[in-house]
Amino acid sequence: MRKTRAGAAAFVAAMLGAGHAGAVASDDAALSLQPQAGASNAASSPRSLRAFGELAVGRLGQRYGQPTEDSRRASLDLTWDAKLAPQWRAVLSNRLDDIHPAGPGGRSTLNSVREAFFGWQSGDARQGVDLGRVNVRFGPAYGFNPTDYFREGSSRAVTTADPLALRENRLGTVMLRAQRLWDGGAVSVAVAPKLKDEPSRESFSLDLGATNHADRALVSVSMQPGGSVSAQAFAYHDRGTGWQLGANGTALWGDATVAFFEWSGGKDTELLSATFDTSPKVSTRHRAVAGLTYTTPSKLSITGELQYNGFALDRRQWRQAVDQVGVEAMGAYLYEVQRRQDIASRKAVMVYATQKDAFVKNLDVTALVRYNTEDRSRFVWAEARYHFRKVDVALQWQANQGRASSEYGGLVDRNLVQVLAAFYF
Amino acid sequence: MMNRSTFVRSLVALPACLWLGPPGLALANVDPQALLAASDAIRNPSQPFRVTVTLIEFEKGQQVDTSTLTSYARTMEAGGQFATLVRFVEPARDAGKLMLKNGKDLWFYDPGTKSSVRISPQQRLMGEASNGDVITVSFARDYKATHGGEEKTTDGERKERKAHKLLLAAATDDATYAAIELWVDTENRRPIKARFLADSGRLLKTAYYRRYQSQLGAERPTETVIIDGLNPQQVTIVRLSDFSARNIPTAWFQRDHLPRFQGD
Repeated sequence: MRKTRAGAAAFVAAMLGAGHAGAVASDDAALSLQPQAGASNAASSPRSLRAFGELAVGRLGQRYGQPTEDSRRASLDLTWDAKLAPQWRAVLSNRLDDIHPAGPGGRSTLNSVREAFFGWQSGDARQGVDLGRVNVRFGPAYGFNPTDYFREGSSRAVTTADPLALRENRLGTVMLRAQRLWDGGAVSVAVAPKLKDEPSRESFSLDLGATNHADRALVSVSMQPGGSVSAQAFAYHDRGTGWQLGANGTALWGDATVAFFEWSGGKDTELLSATFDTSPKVSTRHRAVAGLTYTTPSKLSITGELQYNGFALDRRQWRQAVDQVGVEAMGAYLYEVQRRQDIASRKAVMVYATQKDAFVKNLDVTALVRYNTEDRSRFVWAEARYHFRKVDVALQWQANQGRASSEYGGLVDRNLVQVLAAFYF
Repeated sequence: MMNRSTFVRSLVALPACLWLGPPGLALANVDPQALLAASDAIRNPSQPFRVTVTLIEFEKGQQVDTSTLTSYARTMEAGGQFATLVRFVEPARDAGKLMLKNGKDLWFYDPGTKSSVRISPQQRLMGEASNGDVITVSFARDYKATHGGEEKTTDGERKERKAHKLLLAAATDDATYAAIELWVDTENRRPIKARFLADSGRLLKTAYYRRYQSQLGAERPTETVIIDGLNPQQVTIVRLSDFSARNIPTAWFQRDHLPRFQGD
């Protein structure tokens, strides 16, 4: 059937060559184009050092009678990834952020040593071992990743609301990791020891307590039963809380849609208890995400996600907690949720859309909505970003909306408008 | 009134009728699939190889952007699929990003976010890597060729050539395009020009293969001019340089290897 349609398509196009005279003329013009001198003199391989800087200024609107504030941020991001010998690699990745106003309990200047490790791999690339602070990330979802087991405490500086961009700030975990690949699959084992009890907000701390606060281990198995389907299974153990099992998968549906899911179930800390109790309560519950990304021929890509977190509060529990501690004190709960990179409500929905080359070439427009289905509050974020050759310029707007006692409507920050420039060296 | 399926059947039947008759007899010995394979072998070395791809974009006759990629390509042992791994080199904002293509198994890896994201063919067409692919891609495995006759056509140097016209229809689910029209030089089986078509019959892009040079043991095109089907004012010149045979492990073409990839 497909062949028939394709054959017809080819013939229709050939017969529609009525516009062929015009096409010939434009083809002729295209064939006479001459690139500028030096157009193809670029290096043929990436440099070991990648670097970029960001400057942002904005205006922050607040609730509870607090005044509007100016916000500003300067960031320097460096990654050095070098091949020491044919099978040996060293990686050092660091980011320095200076943020005003700082987040809850935060310092205005925060340095994040994201990665520092040595790696080895066999000549056929089927075996590999890494030792050091490694950023190991799993999960195909955009806004919430239950199978990303090393996510807790990994965002030292929250510089953006864009979940994809936020991943660039993420701290790795100190671990020994080994991986083996075979045709159509892979297995990896990561062992991460406890190195410190508590996270640090000191400006230049390695912050090992944020990422290595417990003895942990993760086994993952990847399978690719067909070109259009992939799956991963996980067994995770945290000496403090216990075992979790998980799985995720992706599937290509037609030429324009990718479907994905993530699930994780097992023992973990109840989020409310983790915030307010000295001995947090551990329960057995589930987290899950299911979503789709659809792309149109006009370069619009839309992702929709349904999110579930059994360790978070449902509508009734949220109301009870607000009645007990007050809506402002619930800020500590939301901070704990953000630290763990969880979602605060039992159920939530996220929509993420990007239009490439919107109106003009190199202008990308992105929008994000996080919707708490329990209390109907929402977070909205939008960005227009223009790419020059070595500089990006972006205008961003974000707002927390909802009733005063809701997740987003109760936050001190009401809205933010900011202009950002990123310089790539 | 002719319904849609009848109309489509008629269209499919028509070219067969048109190609019968005296010229068709003269072409009886042409094996279109073998011709396609021979043309593929001119574009793509048979051994695993690495090539630098420079994409120079024009709009309304003005050069507006350039980017550089490194492409690693090989035929996979299992399934015979032609796989490519593209690493972005320039511009600096994209340096180190990877695009893996193994049939319709498409993954994008960003070293900044450590994310390997499955993408759809439609998403891939949004990026420049898909233009890089027009060159390092094997047609014979994924398309069924029929002979559309011999005709004169203009090549990328704007010279007239006598060519076999091949009509390629997607034959596997891995095919990126629904159909392709390909002109192959009758003299030496070099690809001259191709028109890439969507399922709807819409022209997606036209490619002219030119600047033949001796690379890895054969005369191969080192420059391709790609003209956007919807907006012919958008033109990309793709230059290939630094061809080299490489012992590329098959493991490089697995999603799980992307975070470890360092190239050579």
